Amino acid sequence: MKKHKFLLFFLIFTVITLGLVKIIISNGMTTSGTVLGQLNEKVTNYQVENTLLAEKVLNYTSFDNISLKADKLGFVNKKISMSLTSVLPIAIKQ
Amino acid sequence: MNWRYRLLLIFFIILFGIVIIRLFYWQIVKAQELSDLGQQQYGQALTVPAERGEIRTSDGFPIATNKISYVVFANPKEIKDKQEIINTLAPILNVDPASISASLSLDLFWVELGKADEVKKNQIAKLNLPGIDFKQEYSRFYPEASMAAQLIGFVGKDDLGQDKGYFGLEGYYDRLLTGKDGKALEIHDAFGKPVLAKIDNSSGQTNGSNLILSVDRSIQFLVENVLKESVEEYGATSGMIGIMDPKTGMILAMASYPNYDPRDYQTYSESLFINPFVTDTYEPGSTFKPLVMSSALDAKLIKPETKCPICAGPVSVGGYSIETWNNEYFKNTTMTEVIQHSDNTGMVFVAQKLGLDRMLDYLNKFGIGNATGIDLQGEVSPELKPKNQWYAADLATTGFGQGISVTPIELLSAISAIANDGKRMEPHVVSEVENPDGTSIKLEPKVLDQPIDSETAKVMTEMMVNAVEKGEASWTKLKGYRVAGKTGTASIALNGTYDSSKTIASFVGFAPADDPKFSMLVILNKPTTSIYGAETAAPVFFSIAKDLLLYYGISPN
Repeated sequence: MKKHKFLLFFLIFTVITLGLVKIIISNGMTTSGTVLGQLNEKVTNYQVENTLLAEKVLNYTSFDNISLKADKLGFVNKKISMSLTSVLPIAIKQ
Repeated sequence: MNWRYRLLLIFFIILFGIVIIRLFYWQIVKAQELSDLGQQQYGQALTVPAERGEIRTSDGFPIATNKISYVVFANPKEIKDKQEIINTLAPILNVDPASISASLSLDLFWVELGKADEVKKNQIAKLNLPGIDFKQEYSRFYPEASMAAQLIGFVGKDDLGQDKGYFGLEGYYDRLLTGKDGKALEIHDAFGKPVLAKIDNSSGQTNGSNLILSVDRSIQFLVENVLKESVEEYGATSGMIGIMDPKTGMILAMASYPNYDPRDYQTYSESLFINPFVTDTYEPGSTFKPLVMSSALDAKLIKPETKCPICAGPVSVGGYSIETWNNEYFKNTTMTEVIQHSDNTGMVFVAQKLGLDRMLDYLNKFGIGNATGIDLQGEVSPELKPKNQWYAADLATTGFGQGISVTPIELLSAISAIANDGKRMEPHVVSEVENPDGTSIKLEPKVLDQPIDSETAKVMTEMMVNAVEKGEASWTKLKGYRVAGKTGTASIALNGTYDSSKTIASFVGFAPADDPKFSMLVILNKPTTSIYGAETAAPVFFSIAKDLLLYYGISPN
């Protein structure tokens, strides 16, 4: 009889424990969709930001941009004729 | 009693039968329809667009990549003051006000007004205009603007409004770059919030592959600047330059001028989209002479010191009188001097020695008349005439590069064979393909043919070095470097006659002659300050060669 009472108590305890666990997990799960949505949104925003920054970096580092800026700053090509002979080209437009 | 049992049994069998038939109907016959209906209620099917692959130069810089842009759209039903929207958006979007007005007058919930970049999008968003919203999308982005435009091509729309690559690499490798769109299913609850239970975003989407080019961005930039200046300086209508590594066939730079900006291709003439280096045909003139001379040398019909017995004056062939370019004649001139003086009569002698059969055989081995197989869209290959249509005059004029058409890439590839011990390589622009799964495929150099042997190539190289040292372009040669080269001044055929005032000036060569790092072809179309290649294309060649030799760290001898 004592054994049966113990078994009954154990079963009731297990049922209550599992029930509580289920409530806790369900409670956690109900908000995870919102969290997931926020995380997805963050990832998308970071990806967009990353792409926009990459675009800026590429624009800044392009030779097209560097040469334009160099021209504005007054840099010029090196004109030392280290290997040309002294004879002037015939066809150059004066 | 038995009949009652049987009746009950039959009743239950019929009942179960009806249930089974009904289940079959809902679960088999209507399964897909119900599944789709359910999916609409709990999920959202999304198309996951594949990202188009990048095109990178040899230094890893993405010369063609993707950027975020926005479609500006409007809900006409929400807009009360349409004129205000038109006046505000037309200048920002750079769109005709009439076009916006027409869109807003439509009885629709969604009309597209134009495209905007990040700056314009933020500018419009700050205005808080009613009924105006944005849709984010990816579009093609060319950070280097017009650099290598004809080599790269551009991305436009096909008949279905989908992105499609046109011309150059964008066109040739379109399928590889495009990838494959996928589909994703996002499960959400009754409030539309995503549920953790299942997000199926595996979807079968595959991004496009990246192309790694052999093109060196620094060389390309240098070449384009020099070409633009040269076309303007020499008053040419257009020009083009190709540079190749003769040992591998890899293209280091390819430029044409005038060109266009692929970011704004709609505003340019369609004629600028094609890459003339692979699509234009022209008579190569004297730059063709090394091919004919090396063929005769390889066939052991002549030697560098062989004397020309017919070079004392104009040569008459098939009723035509063939003269030299400057009407100067050298009696008993040697073959080395024939190349040095660019002597047409000497080349007639060589062509006649070679004969038609051997001429056609060698030209075929040099790839003349055949497509080179370069990985660019639109390559053409003007075929050689059938053997029975060759006359004596044709054979003679082919000796000095007139009466025969080639593409610039064909000539550069053929001359590169002389620089590469006689081996002709397949020209390539892409050196490696990076797949989205992280694997990569390197494109190995491919030998197409060996028109001449190694010894002949060395002899021909020496003759071309001599032409640079002592020929008509010697005024512009580089001190301290051995450069092999040949000038070309080809008359342009118009309505069956040649106009002597309009020429294609060119120079082809390679350096350093003993261990070539690059071969280069410079072509200027109809220069006006001088018609001669020696005075226009040659200085351009040596100007670029000087910078390339410094760039590669090759010191003078």
